Amino acid sequence: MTEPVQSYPRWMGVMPCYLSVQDRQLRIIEANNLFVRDFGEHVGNFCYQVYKDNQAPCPDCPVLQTFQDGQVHSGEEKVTTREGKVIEVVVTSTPLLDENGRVSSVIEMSTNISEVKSLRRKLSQTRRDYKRLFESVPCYICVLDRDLVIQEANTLYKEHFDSSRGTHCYDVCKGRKNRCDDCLVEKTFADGQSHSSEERLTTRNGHTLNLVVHSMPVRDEERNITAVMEVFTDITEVKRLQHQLTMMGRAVAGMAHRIKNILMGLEGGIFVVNTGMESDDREAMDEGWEMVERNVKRVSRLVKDLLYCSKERKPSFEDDVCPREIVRQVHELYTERAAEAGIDLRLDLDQQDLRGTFDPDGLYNLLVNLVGNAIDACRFDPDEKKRSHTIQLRCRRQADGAVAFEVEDNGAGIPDDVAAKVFEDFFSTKGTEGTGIGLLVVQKVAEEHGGKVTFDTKPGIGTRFTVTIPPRQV
Amino acid sequence: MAKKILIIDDEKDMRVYLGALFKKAGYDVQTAENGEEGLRAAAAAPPDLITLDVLMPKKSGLRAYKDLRTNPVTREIPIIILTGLAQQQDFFGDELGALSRPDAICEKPIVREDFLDTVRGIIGD
Repeated sequence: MTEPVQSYPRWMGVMPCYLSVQDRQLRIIEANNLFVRDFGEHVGNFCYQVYKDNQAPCPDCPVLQTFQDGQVHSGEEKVTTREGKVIEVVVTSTPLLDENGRVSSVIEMSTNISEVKSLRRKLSQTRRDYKRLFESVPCYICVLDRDLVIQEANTLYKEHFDSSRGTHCYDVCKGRKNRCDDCLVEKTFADGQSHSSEERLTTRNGHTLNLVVHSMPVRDEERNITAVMEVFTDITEVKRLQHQLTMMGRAVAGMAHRIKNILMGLEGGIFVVNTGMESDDREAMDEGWEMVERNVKRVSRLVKDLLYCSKERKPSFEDDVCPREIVRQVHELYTERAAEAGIDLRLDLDQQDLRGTFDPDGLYNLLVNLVGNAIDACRFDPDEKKRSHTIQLRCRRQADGAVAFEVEDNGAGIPDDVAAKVFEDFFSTKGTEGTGIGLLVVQKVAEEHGGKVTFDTKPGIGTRFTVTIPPRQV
Repeated sequence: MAKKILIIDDEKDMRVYLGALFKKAGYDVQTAENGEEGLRAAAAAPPDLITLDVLMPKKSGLRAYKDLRTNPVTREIPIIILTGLAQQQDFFGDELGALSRPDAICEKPIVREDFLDTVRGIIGD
């Protein structure tokens, strides 16, 4: 065994790290107290046996390197204590020189970094978790600096918003050249608080999204705001459902109103009949009974329209149906009632044969609703100067083979705000001919035939509804 | 002599119903199908009370009301507004400016006895 040429100072014995002096064969010549405590008395044994229970030196052994070049070397290793505990250490090897300046032995200092390593692993894991959260939440997330330049964004954000439009959030999200008024990010930078608002943004595919946006400060260790995170939650579907619920609420309210009026008609009819019976007034009894009948018909039509709007109803298509005949029947139904209101209901039919496959009942109901609405539009025309009202009822085959039904009136016209939602809302104009959901029926029947409904209207001038039904492919 | 009520309503059912109700209560009844006809009838032979529908063809209830209230012959006649929608009550109030307000606003469908009480409260039996 090689005698130590130069031993380490005694005070190093209490250093809080493992210290050993090794010879060229990596045998331990001396060791400090901590070393002895955790690895035992091993003077004379090879360090790789003591540390790792190996039979050969470790690859890249810093002690061997120091023997070779006389320099200080270091590396990281995993070693096992005599109690079997694996610890991670940073190993530093320092040469001890003899009187000729040659490396006679090497001091190996191993510092336990297990806790540091463990914390580092936890930190990495936390970073990975945050990154995964950042990427996997079903929200658009971006991090912005004070100039509103996007510093970071999650994949969803990058996929849906076109970053080639610029580097600022307002370029990317809104295609703007300037920052938005009432910018949430600026507010958060100013007061350090979270802010939120609702926005409508357009994706790179041109889809408009309804989003709830939250801005939150990102702070450094000194609590200074270094960035602001914006989180966008897509509420388009929620908004759509909300709209549907609103529409349904309005539909129910409109329906209740209609039913209320019909009930009053029935109640009034019964009252008039009873009064007539009490006073033996035949005329009153007849009048009251007519009221009852009229209102029973109104209920019947309302229920029929509701059934048409319900999804359960299946259209009943028949071959060899003559649409001109159906148009004639509707014209006949309304001619007298239109005339009573001072309206000229005109018929304009194509002379050629229009027979085809249609749902005759659906078509009849569709036309009844359009003409009923047209009569109401004329009756409630506020233009006192317009003394004559006309409704044109047309049916003809178009060049493409489709059959077009047109109902054109010179009544009140539909105001712009009502026209925008005419197929989704209860048609709120007061009327006794329409049921209020007539246009929903018209649209449903047209769609069942593979057709479409369009309309032109000018407030004060009139409205033309056109239903186009293509030839049915059997 | 029985007091006379003029019913201005475009809906036939309403005219017949209210007519029967008022007659049974001992009033004379006159009817008009729209605002224009109602104005003419009221000016020609002023009734003791007018019941006026709001949404009517030719001349709306609101315009008819304004005309009735500005015509010296009809301006003092008590008027009950009959409306299908409760929210029209506010609208009616806002639109009148300096004109006097209706004597009553009743929502359809009417409750017979309550409605008759309102009428009696204004013009008596």
